[in-house]
Amino acid sequence: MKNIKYFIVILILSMSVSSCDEYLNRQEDQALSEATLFKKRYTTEQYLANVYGFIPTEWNASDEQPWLPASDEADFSFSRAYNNMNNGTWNPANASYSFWDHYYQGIREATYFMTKVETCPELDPDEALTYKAEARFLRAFYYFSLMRQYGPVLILGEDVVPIDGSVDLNRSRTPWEECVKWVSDELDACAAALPAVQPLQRTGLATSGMAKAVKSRLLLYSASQLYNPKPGTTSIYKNYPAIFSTQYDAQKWKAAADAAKAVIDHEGGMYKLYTSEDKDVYKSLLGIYQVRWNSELIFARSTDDSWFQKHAAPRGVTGYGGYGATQNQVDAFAMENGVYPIKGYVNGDALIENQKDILGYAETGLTSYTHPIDKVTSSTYLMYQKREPRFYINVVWNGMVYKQLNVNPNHIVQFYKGGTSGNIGTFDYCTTGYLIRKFSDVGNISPQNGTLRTGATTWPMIRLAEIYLNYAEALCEYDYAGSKNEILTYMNKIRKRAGVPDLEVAYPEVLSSKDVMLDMIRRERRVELCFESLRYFDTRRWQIAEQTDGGNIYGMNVEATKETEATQYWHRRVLEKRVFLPKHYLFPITQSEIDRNKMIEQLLW
Amino acid sequence: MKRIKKEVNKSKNSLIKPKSVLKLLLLFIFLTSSTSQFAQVNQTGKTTQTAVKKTIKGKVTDSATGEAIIGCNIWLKESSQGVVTDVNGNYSITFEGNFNVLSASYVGYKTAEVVINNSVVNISLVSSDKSLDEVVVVGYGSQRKVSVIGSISSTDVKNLKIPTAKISTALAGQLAGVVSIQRSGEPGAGSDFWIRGISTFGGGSKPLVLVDGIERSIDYVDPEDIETFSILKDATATAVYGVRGANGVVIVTTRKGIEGKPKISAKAEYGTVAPTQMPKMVNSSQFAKSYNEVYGYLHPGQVQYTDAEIAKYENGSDPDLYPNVNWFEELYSDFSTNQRASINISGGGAVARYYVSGSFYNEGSIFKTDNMRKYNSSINYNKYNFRSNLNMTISPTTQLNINLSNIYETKTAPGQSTGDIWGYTFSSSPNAFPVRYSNGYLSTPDGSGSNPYNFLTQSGYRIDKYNTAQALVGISQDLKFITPGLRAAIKFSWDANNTYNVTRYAMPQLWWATGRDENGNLVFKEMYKGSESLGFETSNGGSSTFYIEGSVNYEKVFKHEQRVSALFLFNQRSLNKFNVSAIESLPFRNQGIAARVTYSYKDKYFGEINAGYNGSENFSPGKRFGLFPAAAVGWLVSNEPFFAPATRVVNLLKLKASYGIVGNDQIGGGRRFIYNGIIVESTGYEYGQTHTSMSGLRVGDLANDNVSWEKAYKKNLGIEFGLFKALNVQFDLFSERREGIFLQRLSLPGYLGISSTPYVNVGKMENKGVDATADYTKKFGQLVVTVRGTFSFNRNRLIDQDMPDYNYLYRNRVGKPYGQQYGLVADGLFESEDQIKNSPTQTFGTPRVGDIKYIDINGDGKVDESDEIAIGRTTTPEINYGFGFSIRYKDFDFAPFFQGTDNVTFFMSGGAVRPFSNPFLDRNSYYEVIYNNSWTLANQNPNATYPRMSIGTNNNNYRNSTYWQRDGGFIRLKYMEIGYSVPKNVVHKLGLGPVRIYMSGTNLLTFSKFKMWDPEISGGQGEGYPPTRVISAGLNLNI
Repeated sequence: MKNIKYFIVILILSMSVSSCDEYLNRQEDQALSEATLFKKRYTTEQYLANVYGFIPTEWNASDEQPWLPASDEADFSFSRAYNNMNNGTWNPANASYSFWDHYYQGIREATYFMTKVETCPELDPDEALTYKAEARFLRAFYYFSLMRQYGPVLILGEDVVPIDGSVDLNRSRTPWEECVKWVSDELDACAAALPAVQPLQRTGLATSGMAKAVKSRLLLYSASQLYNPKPGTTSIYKNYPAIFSTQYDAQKWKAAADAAKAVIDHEGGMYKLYTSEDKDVYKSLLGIYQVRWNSELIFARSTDDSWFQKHAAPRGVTGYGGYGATQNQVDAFAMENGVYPIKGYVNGDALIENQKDILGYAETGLTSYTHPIDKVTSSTYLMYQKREPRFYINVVWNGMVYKQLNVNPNHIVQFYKGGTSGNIGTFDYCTTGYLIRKFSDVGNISPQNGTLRTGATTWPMIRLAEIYLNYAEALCEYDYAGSKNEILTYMNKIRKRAGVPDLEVAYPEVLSSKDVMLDMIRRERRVELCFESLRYFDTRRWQIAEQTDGGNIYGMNVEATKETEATQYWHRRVLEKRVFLPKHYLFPITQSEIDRNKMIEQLLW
Repeated sequence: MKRIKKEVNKSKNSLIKPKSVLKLLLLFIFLTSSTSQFAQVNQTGKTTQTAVKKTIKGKVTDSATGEAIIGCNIWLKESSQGVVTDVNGNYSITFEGNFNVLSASYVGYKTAEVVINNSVVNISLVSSDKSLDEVVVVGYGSQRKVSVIGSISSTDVKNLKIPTAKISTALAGQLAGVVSIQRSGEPGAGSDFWIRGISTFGGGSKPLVLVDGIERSIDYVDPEDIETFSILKDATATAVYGVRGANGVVIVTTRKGIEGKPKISAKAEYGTVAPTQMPKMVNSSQFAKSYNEVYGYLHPGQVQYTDAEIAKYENGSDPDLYPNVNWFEELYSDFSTNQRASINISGGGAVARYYVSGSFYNEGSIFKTDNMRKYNSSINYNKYNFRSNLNMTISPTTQLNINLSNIYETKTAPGQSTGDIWGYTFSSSPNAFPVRYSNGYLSTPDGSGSNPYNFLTQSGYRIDKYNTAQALVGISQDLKFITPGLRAAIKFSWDANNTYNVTRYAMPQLWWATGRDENGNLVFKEMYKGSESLGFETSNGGSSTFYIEGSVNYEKVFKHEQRVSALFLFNQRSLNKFNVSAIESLPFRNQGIAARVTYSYKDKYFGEINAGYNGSENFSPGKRFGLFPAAAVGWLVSNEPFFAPATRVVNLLKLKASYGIVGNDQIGGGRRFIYNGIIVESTGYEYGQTHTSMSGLRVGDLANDNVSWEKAYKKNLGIEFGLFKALNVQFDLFSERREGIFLQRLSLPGYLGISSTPYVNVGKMENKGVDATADYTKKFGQLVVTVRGTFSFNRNRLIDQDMPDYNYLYRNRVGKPYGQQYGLVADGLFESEDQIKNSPTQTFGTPRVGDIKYIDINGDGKVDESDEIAIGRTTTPEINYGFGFSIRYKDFDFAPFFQGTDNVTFFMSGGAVRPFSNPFLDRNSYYEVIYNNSWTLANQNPNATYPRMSIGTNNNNYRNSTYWQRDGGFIRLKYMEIGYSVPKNVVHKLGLGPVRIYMSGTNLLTFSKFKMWDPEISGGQGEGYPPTRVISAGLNLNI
C-alpha cells in the first residue's frame, strides 16, 4: 500500500501545483503599454510620427488619392474608384477615398498625444510644448482636410469622446463659419507656439509658417463662391441655413488676403520662389521638385516612394504609363509669349486664339523640333512647339524622346495602338496621349528591376507660389482697383521664374478689367500648380466644376494604329464624357457613417 | 466475468512490487525503450516450479448461432502460451504450471475468460456488436451505452479507413452532426469541419479535438490506431470541457493491447490518384475570336487579331509566336499514385499488454517535372506513424499506461508556391507564350504575367518536414481500501511538434521572342538574367505542450438496481509555440475542474449532472473562471415492464433531454490577454534634412477588464429506437443560443476616430437543427446486409452583431444566417437600348445590350447597393448527409458509401469566369463553357448563361447577383470497397488469421447541378488543386 500513499501525494500535489488564478497570469514580457509609452523620448517621438502619419500621401494619386484623375487635368488608365466619381456612379454606399474615418483618427491621436506628451520625463518642457503644438497643428490641418472634402464637419474640440456608452454618440455638424473660426484660431495659436525653423534632423515637421500657410488656404476656400456666394447668385446650400450663412461677406476675401500676406511676410519673408543659381528657367522650375527643402517649400514631405514616377513614366522604360494628362490641361498652357492659344471649346472643337498672337500654334503638321529641356530633336507636332516652359516641365507627348539613365537613352514615346507606350494587347494604356512629367526626373531615371528610383525627394504640400496666387486672387476679389499693382507684382514674380512675359505685357486688359485679371489669376494657378492636388478643390470652390468636370475630356486619338494614316492619331477626340451634378460639390458622408450617427446630415446628396 | 477477473487480481503472481514511484517511472522508461526487454520481463515472470503437464480441449462457438469459430486465439491468461482453433473450432492446449484461466479472443467478438475447471472447456463467444456492456467514450471517461443520455455520435472505425493522408477528409457524411468541407486535393491536405454547423461568428467555431484525452490534431492519428471515434454534441456531453466545449468535442481513443498471443495485422494498399475534374479552358483561336468580338464593341470595325493570325493559331504553323497551349495538359499529368502500408502487433500478458504499430503513407502529385533538371520539384508527401501503447498492471490495484506516438511527415514541392502555379495556370492565356521556345529557351511574357511552367518545373524545390512526438503516461489506482468503487488516476502528457522548411529557389534565364528577322529566325529579348544555381532559405517553427490531469472516480451499484457514478477531475495545460510573434510566443494556458454525477434506476431512468469549472488566461485576474453546468435526463421506455409486449417489434426505445451552458474562450482577431491594452506599430512619417523614416506607435486595442467568454445555451431532445433488433435510429433535435460573442463594435461612428475598433462580447447567434443516424443489420442466411445513414441539418441566425440598421431593413444581416450570401437579383440580359432606357437606372456603370438587368427591389427607380438582398444560401452547407450499405455474402463483401451536402451556394468570380478582366491580355484565360454560352453580338441570346464579355472590369455585370450564384450542393460516391476474404480453412492451413484483398475507390462519382469544377473546391473560379479520385487495391493480413 506504500505506493498508494505516494500516489495520493502526487495527486494532491498535482491539484495544488499553483493557485488557480496565478497559473493563468500572463508570463511577464514587459510589453509596451499605455503606461510606459510616454516614459521614453523615442517612443514619444514615435507616437508623434503616428500623428503625422495621417498626412495624405499625395504622390499616390491613383490608389490613395483621387484628386488628379477626378479633375479635368488628368485621366488615369487604371480601373479604380475615381472612375465612379467621373462617370457619376458614386454614392454614399460605394464612395471610395472617404477620408472621414482617416482624418478623425488623426484628430483623436493628436488630441490623445497632446494630453500625454508633457508627462514624458525625457523631454525638456520647451520641447514637449513644441511637440504638443505640432500635434495641435496636425489636428487643425486634418480638420481643414476634412472640410475641403465634406464642407462643415463635427468639431470635437478637446474632447476625446468616450466610447463606453456614457454619452450619446449621435451628433450633428458644426456650422461652417464655426468650423472655419475654430480651425483658424487653432492655427493662430499654433503659429505662435511653433518654431519658424525646426532643427535639421526635424526639418519638415510643423513650423509656424506651415500653420499660417494652412490658414491661408482655409480662408481662401471659405471666401470662395462655394462658401461665400456673390451677390446675385444663389448658394447651393440654400436649404441648410442653420449650417451655412447664405449672405455674401466681402471681408472674408480681406481675411484671406491678409492670411496669405502673413505667410509672404513671415519672419521677414523667409520663403522665396526657388530659382537656380544661374537663373536658368528650366533648372529653376525643375528644382522646385528636385532640390530638397528648397526655399519655396513651406510644407513638404520627404519621401523616397517612386509611386508617382512609376505610374507616370511611359511603358517601355519600365513605367506603367497610366498617369495621363488631359488635352484640356495641355490646352491650358500658354505660348512662349504668355498668350493662351485656346479660348474654349465648342461642340468638341477647340476655339483657337487669333493666329497672329500665338506664334504659329496649329493643330496639324509635324516639324523637327528640339525639346527645350532634353535638347533632343525629333519630329514634333506643331501643337507642342513654342509653348511656355512649364508645358515642357509637365507633359510627355507622342513622338517625344524619353531619356533615361544608362538604358535605352533614346526611347521614342508612342501612344498609338501598337506603339512603344501604347495599347499592346491590354486596356491598361495611356488614354489621353500625354503623360504627366512633373515630379519625374527624366534623364536621371534608371529602371531597376521594374521600379524607377529617383531617391528621396521633398513632395510639395504647400509652396510659396500657391500663397502668391492665393494673395493675388483674394486681393483681386476684395479690392481689384486698389491693389492692381500689388497683384501684378506677385503674379509677375511667378511668371518671371517660369520664363513667361509679365502679365500686363501679354494681356494689357488686366489693367482695366477685373474679370480678365481674375481669369488670368485662375489660368496662372491652373498652369503653375497643375498636378499638385489643388485643381480638384479650385474648380469646386469657384463652383465651376459643372463646366470643367461635367463634360468632355479630350485626348489624342490613341486608338489609331501605326498603319493607318498618321493624321488619325493627331486628332483631338472626346475620350470621356464626365458627369458632374451639383451634389458632387461635396463628398457624401458614407452610408455606414449615416447608419451609425443618425444626427449627421447628408448635405446636397 | 468481472468476478473472475477480481480473483485473478488477488492471485499473487504479480511480479513487480515497486518500492517507490520513482522506481516505477524508471521502469516505464526502461520498458518502453525496448519491446524485447519487455518480452524478457514477461518470460521471467512466468517461471514456475511445478512440472505437471495438463491438456485442455474444447470447442469455440458463436453464442448466437452455435457456429464453430475457426482461427480463434486461445491462450492461458497471464502467459504467452496459446493455440488457435482448427477448421471445426476445436482446440487443444498442453501446459505446465499453475494456470487456471483460459482466454479466447476473435475479431468481432468479446474476449472471453473461462476458469479451467475441467479438461474439456467449451467456450462460446458473444459478438461484440451486440454486447450489452458495450461502452461509449464520453468526456473524461466512458459510460455503458445503455446509460448514455447525452448527444454523442460515434462511428465504426473501419468507416474512417479511407485511403487519404488525413483522417479529417474521411469524416464527411460519416457522423451525424459533422459538417466537413475539403477545399483542396493537394497531397497532405486536410479538411475543415465543424460540429452541428457554425454556432458563432466569433473568433473560433472549430471543435475541441482530444486524442486519448489530450488536445491534439486529429490528423496526427493513424486511422489504423483508432479504437473509438466519437463526437460530443450537446451540453451534457461537453459541459465538462467548460470554457472550451461550446463548439463540440471530438474524442478519439487509440487501441490498447489485448491480452493474448501476439496478433499481427498488416495492410498494404496501392492506389492511383487523379483529379475528380480538370478545368477546360479556351484555345488560342477561341480566345482570339472572342477578344476580337469584344474589341469590336469598343472600336467598331477594328480587330486585335487578324484572320491570318487566327489561322496560325489553328494550324499550329508557328508555335513559337502563335502558340496554342493547353496549360493544364502541359503542367499536370492525368494521375499520380499513393501507397499505404501499416502493421500492428498487439498482445501481452497479465502484467503488461502492448499495441505497437507503424505505418507509412506516400502520395505523389500530378505536377509534372522537367526531366532535364536534376532535382524533383513535384509534390511528394510522405507520412510515417509510429505508436506504442502499453498497459501494465503493476499491482493488483494499480494500472499504468504509456502511449508513445511519433509522426513524421515530409513534403517536397516546387520552389514557387503552389498557389502561384495554379494561379498562373488558370490565368495564362493560351496564345500568350509557348511552354518553351522551339530552341529550348524558357519563355516568359513581356508584361506582368509569368509562365506557370517555369514556376512548376524550373523554380527549384522546397522540403517541409514535420515531426510530432506525443507521450502520455497515466496511472490509475483502485482506492477500494477507502471505499469500494473509488478510483483515482493521474495523467501526464508532453507533446512536441517541429516543422522545418528548406527552400532552394531558382529561376533560370528567361526569354521573350519579339518576332522574326528577315531570315525567319526568332528574335529574342532577354527578360530575366536568371541563375542556374539554387538559392537557400530555411525556416522552422513548432510547439511544445505539457498537460497534467488528476481525477477521482466513483462507481457503485446498489442492490442491482441503482447505479451511481461520480467524477472529479483537475487538469491544466501549457502550450508554447516558437518562431512566432512576441505575443504568440507567450505560453497558452488552460486550467480547470470537471465534475460529473450520474444516476440510474433499474436501467430505466437516468439522470446526470455535468459541470466544468475552468479558466481562461484571456480574461482579467479574478474574472477568469466560470462554471458551466449541464443536466440531462433519460428514460429507457423499452425496459419498462408495460412495454414488454412491444419489444418484439420495438426492441429499444429511449427518450432523452439535456440542457446546459458551455463556453468558448477563443477571441477573434489574434487577440490575447484582452485585459491588457496593446501598443501597435502604425504609419509613421518621413522628415529630416536627410531622409529619415520614423515608424509610428499608437494605442491599439484598448484594455478591457469586463470581457468574458462566449456562452452557449444548449438544448437537446433525443430519441433512440430499435426495430426488430435490426434497425437502430438515433434522432436529435437541438437548439443553441450563443451569447457574448466577441466582435468589434460596428455601431461606433467614424468621427470618434477609433483606430482599433474595440472588441466586446455582445454578439448573439442561434443555431437549430436535427441530426439523425440510422443503421440496419440483417442476416439472410449467408448474406449479411448492413445499411447506414446519417443526416444533419442546421440553420443558424444572427441575433446581434452590434451593427446599426441598414438604410433598408431588408438589408440587415441580423435575423439571417451567418454566411448568408447577398447580392442583386438578376432578370436576364438587356435586349435593347430601349429596354435599358425604360428600366430602372442601373448605377454601376453604363449598361449596354447584353449586360445583366437587375430588379429594383425597393422600387426607387434605380438599381444600386440598396437593392442587394439575401439571395441563395450560405457558403457552408446547411444539410450534410451520408448513406451507404455493405453486403457480405460468403467471402465477398461490397460496400458503397455516398456523401452529400445541400443548401449551399457560392458566387462565381475571378478572371477565369470573367474573360478579359485582367489588364494584361496574357493573363486572361477563361473557361471554354463561357466561350460557348455567352451573349455575343452575333448571337444576342437574352437568356444566355453568361453576359456580354467586356474588356476590363465590368462594374455592372460583375457584381454578386443571382446571375453568378450557383448551387454548391452535391452527392458523391465518396467511397466504395469490394473485398474478398480468403476462406478461413485456407488461411488456417497457412497459419494465418483472416486475410482479405480488396479494391476501393474514393470520390468515384459526383452528381451536382454545377458542372464546371468540383463544387467542393474553394474560390469563385475553381482555382487550386482539385479534389482527387483514388482507386486502390489492398491486402489485409492477420497473423
